[in-house]
Amino acid sequence: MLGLGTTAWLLERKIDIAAVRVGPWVVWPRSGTPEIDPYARAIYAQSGQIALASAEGVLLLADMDDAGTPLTGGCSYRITGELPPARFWTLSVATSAGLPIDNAAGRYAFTSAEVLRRSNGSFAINAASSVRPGNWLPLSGPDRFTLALRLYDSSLGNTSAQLERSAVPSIWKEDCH
Amino acid sequence: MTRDRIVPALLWAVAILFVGAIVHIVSILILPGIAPNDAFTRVAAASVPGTVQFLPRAVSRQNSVPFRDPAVASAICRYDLQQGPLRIVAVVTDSAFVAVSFHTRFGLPFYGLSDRASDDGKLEVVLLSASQLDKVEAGDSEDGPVREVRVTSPTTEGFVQFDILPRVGGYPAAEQALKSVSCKIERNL
Repeated sequence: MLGLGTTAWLLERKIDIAAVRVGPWVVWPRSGTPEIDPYARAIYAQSGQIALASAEGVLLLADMDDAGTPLTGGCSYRITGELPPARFWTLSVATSAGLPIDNAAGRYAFTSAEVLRRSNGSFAINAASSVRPGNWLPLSGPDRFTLALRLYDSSLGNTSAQLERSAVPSIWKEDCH
Repeated sequence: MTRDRIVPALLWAVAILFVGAIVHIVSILILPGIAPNDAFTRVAAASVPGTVQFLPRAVSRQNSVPFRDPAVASAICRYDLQQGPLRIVAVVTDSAFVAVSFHTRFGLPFYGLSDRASDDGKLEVVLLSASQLDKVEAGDSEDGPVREVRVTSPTTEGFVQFDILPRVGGYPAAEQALKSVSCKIERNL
C-alpha cells in the first residue's frame, strides 16, 4: 500500500526526481530520448502526453512565477528576458493537466515569428485575462495554469540539464484582481 | 523493557519501508506497459497503419492529449512492421519548420529529424525492423549511394508524428503544409 500510494502520489503531481528546475521553469533532460528516466516514462504513459523528441525540440514548463507563487488566471504576468538558443520557439498557456484553455480572443500561443520585439530584439509577453497592448497572451478563469515554452531545433538537446538561470525568461506577477 | 519493544518496532518499520520501496519501484517500471490510456491509445490505436491521420488543433479540451503545442499542426501515421516497412516523406519549404519524430508503442520518441536534415527539399525515411533492414541492405547495390534514411524501431508497432510550425501565415498555413506529408507500407521490400 505504501509503495503504490507513493507511486500514485508522484504520478498525480507529475513529480519526477530527474526534472531540473531553472528559475520558474522545469525541464526534463533526456525525456525526448530513449534514455528517458523511469519516472518521466511512467508520467507520460499515465497522462498520454507525447514526449517531444530531443532532435525536434525541448519543452519547459512553469507553474510558478519568479517569486515561487503559483500562476493563477486571476493575476497578470509579464514574461521577459533571454531565451536559450533555438531556431523557433512558442509560448502557450495550458491547464495544470496540460489541456488548452479557451479564450474569447482565440489566441493560444505566441511564436518566435509572431512576437513583437523592441528595437534591440528583446521582447515582453503579457499574460492577462483582459486585453493588453503589445504581446498579449490571454488567460481565462481564476484557476491555476501552466506556461509551456517550446524551443524547436534547439542546440540545447540533451544538455538542457545545464541550462543557466540567465538563459531562461523571468515570469513577474503584475497585479491581481 | 523499553528497548525490547523499540528494537522490534524499528525492525518492522524498516521492513515495511523496504517492501514499500520495492513495490514503488516495480510499479513505476511496469506502469508504462499497462497504462490503459497512453499516447499510442489516444492518437494512433484507432487509425489504420500506413495512413496519415491529421490531429485536431490543440485548442479544444476534447483533444485529450496533454501539452500539445497549439501553434503546431500535427499528423501521425501508425506503423505495424509486421505488415512491412514504412516509408514516410515530408516536403520541406522555407516557409515552415518541419519535424518528424518516431515513437514506440509506448509513445516514447526513439528517433527524430527536422528540416535541416532534408535532401532535395524533402525528408524521406524508411522505418524497418532489424530483420527487414538486413534484408534491404543485402539487396543494396555496391556502388550506388543510399539516399533514404533508414531507421530501425525498437517496437513492432508505434507511430510517426509530423509537426509543422509556420514562419508566416499562422496555423492555417501549417495545416495546409501538412497535406504534403505521406506514409505508406512497403510490402515489396
